[in-house]
Amino acid sequence: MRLILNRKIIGLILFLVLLIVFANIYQSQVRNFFFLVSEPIQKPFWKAGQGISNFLQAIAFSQKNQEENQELRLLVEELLTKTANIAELESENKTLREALEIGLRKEFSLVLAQVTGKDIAQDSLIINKGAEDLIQNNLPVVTQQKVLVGKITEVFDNFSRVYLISSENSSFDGKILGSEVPGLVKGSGNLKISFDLVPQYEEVKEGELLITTALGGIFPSGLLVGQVKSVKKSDIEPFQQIEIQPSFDIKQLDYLFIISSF
Amino acid sequence: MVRNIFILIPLFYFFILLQVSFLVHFSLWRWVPNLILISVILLNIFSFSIKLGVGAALAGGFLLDVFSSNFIGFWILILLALAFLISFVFKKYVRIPFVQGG
Repeated sequence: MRLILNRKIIGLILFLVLLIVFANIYQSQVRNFFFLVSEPIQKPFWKAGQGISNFLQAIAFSQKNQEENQELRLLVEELLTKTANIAELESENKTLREALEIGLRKEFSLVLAQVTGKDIAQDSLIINKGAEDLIQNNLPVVTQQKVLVGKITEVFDNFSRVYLISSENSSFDGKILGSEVPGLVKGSGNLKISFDLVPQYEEVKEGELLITTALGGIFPSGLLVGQVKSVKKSDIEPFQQIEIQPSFDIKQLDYLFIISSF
Repeated sequence: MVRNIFILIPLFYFFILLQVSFLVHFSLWRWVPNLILISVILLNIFSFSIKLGVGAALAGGFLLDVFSSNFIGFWILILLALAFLISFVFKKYVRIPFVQGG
């Protein structure tokens, strides 16, 4: 009896070891197969979840929205004035470029992808574009507004995994827009980002915008990363502790763009 | 027992899809309920069948691994350890009067 039991336990362990080894060797194919089969079921789930979540949020924040609406209207008016100024500057810029024969800056090559799954605990997303769509590792992923979301870290045949910039594995060069203060943007996990290696003497204010630089060669320059949420200075620390609020809302991420060349 | 596991596999598959595509929209403080983990724990507590518990841990762990960014085997090992631990504790130390088995 004990012999039979031992054989069963040994059999189970062997089966388990073989399953784990083979599944990890062929993990790309295994995961791609499951993502491919699940996509038609996941899409309605995703839409239903998003719809219900938006509806509940709309109810919860309807009062707050009214106040925000008032503030936003004022902001829109202010922005319209600025847009008019920008349009004027653009036209001036275009004329100058033509005069200098510089030509327009090459636009990014973008590939549209849809989010099919999220792993919030790991700060990662699954999108429905993969090796068959010529997607490669390390390509930047942005939103419609060209807000930096993350980069491709794993490519399957029809899907890819995107690690968000808030992931603990993420670090790249950035700078404060306007004051040009450079530093290292590091993901801290749980959707938190910090701006590191900024010396104490540099002046960084809450609300300032953080953008990417082309220094590391990972991301193109000028992509919006987030807004400075808090700045802590300490005499005993060599650098400031700056917390960044990402400019994307993970709950609203539905369609994304992969920058295939920049 | 085998029939029960074959019923559990589609149920777990439904749970994992619900978890990664539907429930992520309702995360509270970035926490999403792990339906498979909860199911495996409840199943091991109330079924008193180690075979069913291990089968559920294997199937559920595999599906959790496929849809998470960890290596395949991470959740299988956690759920298996949990199944054996619950089975051991309940066999040795706990008696639930209204549940048959043990």
